[in-house]
Amino acid sequence: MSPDRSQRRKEFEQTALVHFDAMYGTACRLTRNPRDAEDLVQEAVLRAYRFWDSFQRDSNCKAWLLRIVTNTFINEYQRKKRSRQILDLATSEQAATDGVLIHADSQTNRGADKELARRAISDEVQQALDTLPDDFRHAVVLCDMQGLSYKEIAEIMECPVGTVMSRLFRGRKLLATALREFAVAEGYVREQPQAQARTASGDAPIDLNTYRAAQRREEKP
Amino acid sequence: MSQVCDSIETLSMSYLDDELAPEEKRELELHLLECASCRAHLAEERQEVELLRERLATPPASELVRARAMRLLDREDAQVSRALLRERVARWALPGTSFVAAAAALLVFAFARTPSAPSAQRSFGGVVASHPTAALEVTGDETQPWLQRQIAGTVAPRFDGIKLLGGVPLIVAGRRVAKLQYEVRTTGAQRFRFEANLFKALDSDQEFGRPVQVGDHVLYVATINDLPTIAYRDARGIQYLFISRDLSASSLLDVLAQSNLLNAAR
Repeated sequence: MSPDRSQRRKEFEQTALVHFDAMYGTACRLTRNPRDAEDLVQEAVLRAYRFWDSFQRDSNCKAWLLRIVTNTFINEYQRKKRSRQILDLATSEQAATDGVLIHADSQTNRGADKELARRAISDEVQQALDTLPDDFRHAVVLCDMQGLSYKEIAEIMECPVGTVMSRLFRGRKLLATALREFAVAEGYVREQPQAQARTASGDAPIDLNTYRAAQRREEKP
Repeated sequence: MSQVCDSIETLSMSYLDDELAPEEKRELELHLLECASCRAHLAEERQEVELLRERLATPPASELVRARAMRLLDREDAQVSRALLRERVARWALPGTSFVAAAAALLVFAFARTPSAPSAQRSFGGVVASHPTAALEVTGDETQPWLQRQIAGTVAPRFDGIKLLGGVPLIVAGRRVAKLQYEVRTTGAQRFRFEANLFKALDSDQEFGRPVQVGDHVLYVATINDLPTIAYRDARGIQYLFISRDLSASSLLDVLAQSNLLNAAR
């Protein structure tokens, strides 16, 4: 590798790959199973590496990476999923080359975290998330899992901040309801009608800008 | 009902997501002190969001997933390096030096050497004078076993994406030299050749030329009679002399930096 190239790689590992878990976690929540999550995160990492030169060094790297994960999911992954049968053929080849890695992996952590991942992803949280429309799900994942700001999410989703807020608001309500329903179905909790009632979004629009505009109107003489 | 009360859904959400401006935050906090209904709303929202956040968390990626990602990057690096190399080779290549002119220049050079030159320089000069060679004695897969017979224990250096055409034996200044010829094909289907001359170095051989550090190794770059030559001696005392009539010293160095010869230890 040329010195420029290894410098680039080093910088990428130090600046971007520290967010690998965040990318993987997001991928887990966007897709529906560990295998798709891995495909997605691998593709997103590769894209990020290819476009590393275009990353603005003073901006939020995590937001930039999650934008790639989300866009890859929206654009590529869905299309790729259709050609899954073809890819399955290639998996046997990958399984063969992974032999060594799998061995090393089982030596260090005995697959415990893999098992955990499988369980976490197939749990009721994922089932509840699956009931949400994609836009709502993306907003909730990016905000509540990854802690991105409304503005960062708006850039990723290419929509106004107000739209992010209403998707987030409604996404959270729907998710909370779905989780409650699962819990009720499983007999963990009894139904709470008063909580259900609040899930319908109120009459007031959920948008900070609307509030701020109203404030400004009030301040004027 | 104040305007804060009217907008409590928006405000509590923005507050919990830390999106309020400092003065908005202050105003809300002041309002909460005197409004039990908004206080209760915020507390309920906080509980709900915190619970969601907690439940949404996923475990970290496994070592296997990470290792696969790193392998993908390794592959990407290798591919880009190869493509860059081809591009550079195409850019640096001398425009069609005529074989006859080069051979004539070499002859002049070979006779112009002073007899008092250090032995390595004399041998190197002789090797350069022998370049390029028309006929290969062995080609393709036969090359490696042949090289073993020429100089026991040596392995032909490998270069990503570059073909080893074959080899030919030489005797230069009384030494046995194995000459290996390589060919680079560019994306534009152009072909460039360079060669590696291998021989056992003597203790009296002095390195000459400009030292260049490549990774942990030092290579010596010289221009001998307008031909770039790069000398490298491995830990076992095998001397490698790379010469090309098609490539500049810098692109030849680029090529060498990609070889297993220099990267095996890393």
